[in-house]
Amino acid sequence: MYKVKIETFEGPLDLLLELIENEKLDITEVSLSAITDKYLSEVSKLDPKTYDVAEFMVVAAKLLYLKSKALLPSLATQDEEEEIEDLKQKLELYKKYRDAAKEFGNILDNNQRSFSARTTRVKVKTFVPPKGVAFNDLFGVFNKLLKDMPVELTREEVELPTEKVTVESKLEQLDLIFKKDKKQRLSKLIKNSNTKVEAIVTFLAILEMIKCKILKVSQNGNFKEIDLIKIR
Amino acid sequence: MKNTPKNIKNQIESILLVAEKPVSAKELTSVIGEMAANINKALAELIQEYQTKGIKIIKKGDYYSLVTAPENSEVVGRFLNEELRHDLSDAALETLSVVTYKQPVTRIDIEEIRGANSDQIIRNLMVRGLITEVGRKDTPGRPILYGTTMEFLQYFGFEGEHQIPKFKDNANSNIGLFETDKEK
Repeated sequence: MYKVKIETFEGPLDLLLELIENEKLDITEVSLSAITDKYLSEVSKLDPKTYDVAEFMVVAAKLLYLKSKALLPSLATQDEEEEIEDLKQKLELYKKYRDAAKEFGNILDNNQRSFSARTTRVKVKTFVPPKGVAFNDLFGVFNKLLKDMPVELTREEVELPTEKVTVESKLEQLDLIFKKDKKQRLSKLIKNSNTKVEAIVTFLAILEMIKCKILKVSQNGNFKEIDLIKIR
Repeated sequence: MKNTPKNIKNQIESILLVAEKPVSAKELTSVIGEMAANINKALAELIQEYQTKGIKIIKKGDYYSLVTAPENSEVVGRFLNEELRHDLSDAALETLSVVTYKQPVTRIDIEEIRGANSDQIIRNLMVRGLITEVGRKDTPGRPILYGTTMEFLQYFGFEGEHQIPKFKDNANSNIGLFETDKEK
């Protein structure tokens, strides 16, 4: 028998512990900070279809805080210090359960199991009608049961949108549009969307461009048209 | 008819043999019609007497079960045509260890410790009979509390909870390990 070890992780704690143990480190701030780069590179490889990447990012943020603190000690804040302490404690506790699980595995590898008679006994279910029950009684009860059966529920089928619009691709599109004409009307850009999702993505992309100071917004009073002007 | 200590033990043996599921000392007390103290004494002696036999009486909480000796698992397995090698994944073992040492425990507690979703694994362990619902927590949503089962002991060849490895936590060792079943 051979075992195949596939690199999978149960969650961020599992991954962190794996990295720390591979380096034969203890659970300390220093070692957490030391494995940050490896952690980040593993997280970037995770497939979002199988992993809840957001969970991994929460831990990544904490590790990055540790790194940045090493460079700029004055950045340390009470809240974050507590979170790091919390992460350390969680890791230590998790490690204890994981070690216990390994011991469980070792015990099971001994193949020493107890059997009880009931696990092997085949149960034969028999039905004995109560005294005085006639065929017609059973027939009547069965008919009543059938009548009371819930009507089968059918599920309505809804087609899911398959097209995918990302903010990134929208940004590129918008960039081309604004290259042609520096000034665009918001309502027109939104109206050009084919689906509701696309309209939302367009709006998000525009917000992003405003935040990056690529676009300037102007409006001539309440409820008037909003104009977007490219400023760089 | 007055029961002697010897026939109390005999009666317990007979009942355990035919029992469909683990039997509690409480059930034995009422069905045999003896004082709880006498039943418990008889059970303790029976466990001792079976130490060297091919069948054992194992105890979990207040529940007792008649099982084959773990050292015979290979022959019994062969006879029953049962695969002995376990196929529990690391994740399943991890979840099982959390339930074992922290029971009664909710799914949220398990996921908090493991830092990972454990829904499917919990369901799997339930289907295998290694853990079971032991109650509901008295908090909003009344979440299900999980605990290990008699089958869990059998699966590992433990003859009682005292054989479960001690949890290596100095602060609060073995919390909840012996308390679960009494609540039933």
